[in-house]
Amino acid sequence: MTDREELAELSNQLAPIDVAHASAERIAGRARPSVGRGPSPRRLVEPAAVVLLTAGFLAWMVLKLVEVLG
Amino acid sequence: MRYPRVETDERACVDGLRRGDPAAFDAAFAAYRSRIYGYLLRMTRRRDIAEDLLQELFLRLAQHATKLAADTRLGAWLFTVAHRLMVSWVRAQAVRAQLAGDLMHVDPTATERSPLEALAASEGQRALERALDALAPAYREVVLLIAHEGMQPGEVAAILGIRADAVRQRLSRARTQLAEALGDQAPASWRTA
Repeated sequence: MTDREELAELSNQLAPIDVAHASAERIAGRARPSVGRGPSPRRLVEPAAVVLLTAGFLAWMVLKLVEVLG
Repeated sequence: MRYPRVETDERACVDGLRRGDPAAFDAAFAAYRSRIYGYLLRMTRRRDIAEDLLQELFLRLAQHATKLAADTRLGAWLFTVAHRLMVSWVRAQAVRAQLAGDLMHVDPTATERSPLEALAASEGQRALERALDALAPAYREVVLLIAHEGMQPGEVAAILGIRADAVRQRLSRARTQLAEALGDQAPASWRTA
């Protein structure tokens, strides 16, 4: 027998496992409404805000630098 | 629309997911939830974490449903994402442990008794769960995916992002370590080999 076959035979003895029914319902219930909808647009708001603030701050710094040097 | 079990007609399920049909999602969830939960629980050894990762996994499936390729192998896709989520969790735990200045607790579950032992119905099953727990996570993962899930080394290599040779090597070492850990409780054929 190969390692694979021997281990498969052994792992057949492992106890079956399943997530608790209530947890399974909760998980499916949370995910199901997202089918075909993609990630919520709200997940993009935070990174977009950070990018805008950072870009604004960098632009302000460059302007200040030009002002001081000029 | 009713969907057949994913094992017997995965294509129909993938087609339904690509159309954004919630019934296809339900079929995929029913077919894979226990298999993936078992994998996550045996890798993380924590029910709460396994449930959280399972939820994140199926949320990602729902969100990516319409973007799946027509030839997507759903089982491989789900186990690949589950593996990545599990690795991210392990890394986050390691960072947390380092921030806490407690490098001895990189794996905080290492000293906890496995919840799987409680599920075991016999001393043989308990011994097997303990032996599996004692394996290095990389070896345990290969045993679970190949021996328990019946995947081919090539499939597992793709999921883990390693070579098929490395998968076979891990499997061989895992078998040796399991035989040592099980001692007298190892299958008779292992002891005579």
